[in-house]
Amino acid sequence: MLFLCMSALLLAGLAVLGVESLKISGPSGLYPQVLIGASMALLVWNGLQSWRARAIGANDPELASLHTGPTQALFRFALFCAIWLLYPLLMTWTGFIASTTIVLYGSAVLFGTARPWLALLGILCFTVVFSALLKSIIYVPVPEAWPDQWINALIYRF
Amino acid sequence: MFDVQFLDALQSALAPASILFSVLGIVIGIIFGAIPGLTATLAIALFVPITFIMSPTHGLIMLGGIYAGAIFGGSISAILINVPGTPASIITGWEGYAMARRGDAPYALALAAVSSGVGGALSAIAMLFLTPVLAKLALSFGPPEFVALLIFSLAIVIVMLDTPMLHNLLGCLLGLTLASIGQDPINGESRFTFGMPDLLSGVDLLAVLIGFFCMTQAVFLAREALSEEKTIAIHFEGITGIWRVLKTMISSFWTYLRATVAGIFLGIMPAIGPESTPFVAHAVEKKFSRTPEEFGHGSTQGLIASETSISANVGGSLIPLLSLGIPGSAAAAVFIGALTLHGMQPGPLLFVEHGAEMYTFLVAFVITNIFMVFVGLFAIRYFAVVLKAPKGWIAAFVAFFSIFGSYAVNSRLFDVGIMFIATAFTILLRFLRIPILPVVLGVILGSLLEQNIVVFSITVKSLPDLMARPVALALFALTAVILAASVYKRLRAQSTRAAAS
Repeated sequence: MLFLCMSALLLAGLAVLGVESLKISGPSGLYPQVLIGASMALLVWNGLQSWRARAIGANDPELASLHTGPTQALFRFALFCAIWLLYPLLMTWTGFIASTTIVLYGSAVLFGTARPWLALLGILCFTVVFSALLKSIIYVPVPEAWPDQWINALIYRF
Repeated sequence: MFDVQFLDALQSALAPASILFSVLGIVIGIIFGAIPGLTATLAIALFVPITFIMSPTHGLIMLGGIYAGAIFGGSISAILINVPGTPASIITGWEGYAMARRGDAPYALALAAVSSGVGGALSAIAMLFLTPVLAKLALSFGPPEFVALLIFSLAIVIVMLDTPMLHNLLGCLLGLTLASIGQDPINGESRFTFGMPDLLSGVDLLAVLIGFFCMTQAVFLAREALSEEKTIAIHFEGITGIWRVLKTMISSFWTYLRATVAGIFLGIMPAIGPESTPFVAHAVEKKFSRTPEEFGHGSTQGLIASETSISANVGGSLIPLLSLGIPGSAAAAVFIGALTLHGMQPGPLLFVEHGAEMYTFLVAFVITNIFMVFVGLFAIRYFAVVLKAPKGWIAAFVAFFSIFGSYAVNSRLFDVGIMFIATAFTILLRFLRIPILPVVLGVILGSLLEQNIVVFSITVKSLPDLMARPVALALFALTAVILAASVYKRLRAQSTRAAAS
């Protein structure tokens, strides 16, 4: 069932692109139209073949582990995904240092850590040092809040 | 004349300061390469201004060290945690991670270091002696040859993977479709942008690749950490490990040679960067191997072919740059900046006007690759310790570096979104049993293929036009033969299975 749902999802995505490609005028649209048409045909053929061979539900334990297993582990796994999905948004609100510390510490707590305070201290040190490296060597401008501005001021003072 | 120049160059390359800058470059390169999102190109670009305070020769030696180190560095995280540090290390991760899971991480890392050094050193020797000849070959490549070469590269991956050919073809088509997002390369008309200006320049390749490999791996590592064993066992073999590597090296002579030739050849082709090279080298090696069934499951030959070809590509990409001023890859393009900063104009007169500096750089590049082997072998014990860290921590840091890496490319959160979508897309494809490798190659080569197809269709209007391009014709014929042979082999295997059942 999951196989068919996923096939339908991909087919729907390709159909959207296909419709969009029909709006492209001239030769610019021909190349993607050919690719999308061939992809859709192969996807349908693949689905039919798998259906006929009853090979749906591939034997991939790693993949199956994403949606099967003890409820508590699945819940913690979902939380892990949610934390990292929210991280970019959090970064725009609280700045790089605070958001990185929060999500890394949150992940550590999710996986279970023997010494939470030590973990927090280690993560904080890593984040501050990494942030200083970003500003002084790698030059990647990250969203900032007051802790980041404090590091900035410190770097400029030195 | 050449002998005197060569001896002078050797003397300068072996001077303590040259060695110091070479090793410094290697260490910097390894660090940058090992972090997903930080590529060789970025490392070279960041350190070009710093070389201004050095002599031109030392500056170039350090940048050469960074380039070589970053290529090997990308393989470290690929082997240890299946997170390719650079897009070129995807195949290395495929083979190396399987070896690491068997407890052979130090052996895989040692093989990668040695192969990287061998490929780089051989390509540097090729640079030293073959630069003018190979540059002329690169110039003879027009759109028909490029189309033939790109279709050959895609076909070889479709044919060589173990998964059904239909799935491989579908993956390839999906990759090419993804690459068509953004402005079309000829008319500049926007396609599939859905009103988002950020998509006009297409999906960022690095963000997509980070989603395909790094973030997906973080997701699976996190799930594993919540269910089974927390760390992976490692076997350190000490001096016997070195003997094992040496034995493998000697028995893999032809693998090294084939991968080096493939790497140099693809390296000198402008716009074909190191990303797609290991796919071709790996597929070719599988064809020649006596144990093709091991490929993709921790094959030493596969790992050697991949790693050697990537490093050989580095030297190859510098050949057209130095002799014609045409960069063979993005990182090589940044090298132009370094050369011009020191008053050197890449092109035919470079070796005439700055012969001493250039020969010193080339000899030093050979030595740099040898040093890289020693630095790599020395540091293996420390790299492999990563595997002793709890999987949960590794998952968290891989997720962090995936997000940071995709953001750092253009400093925009939009690419992080693209990276998340690429991660979801990878998992969806895995549900459908469509392999990710043909998708990756499609994404990497898509834009170049479309561009050349359009020019090809305009310039080659009839069969006699095509007959006038023997290289393109030979490549098309070779592709057709490989495809036909593979289809025949698979159909025969299918009918044998049906008869047996």
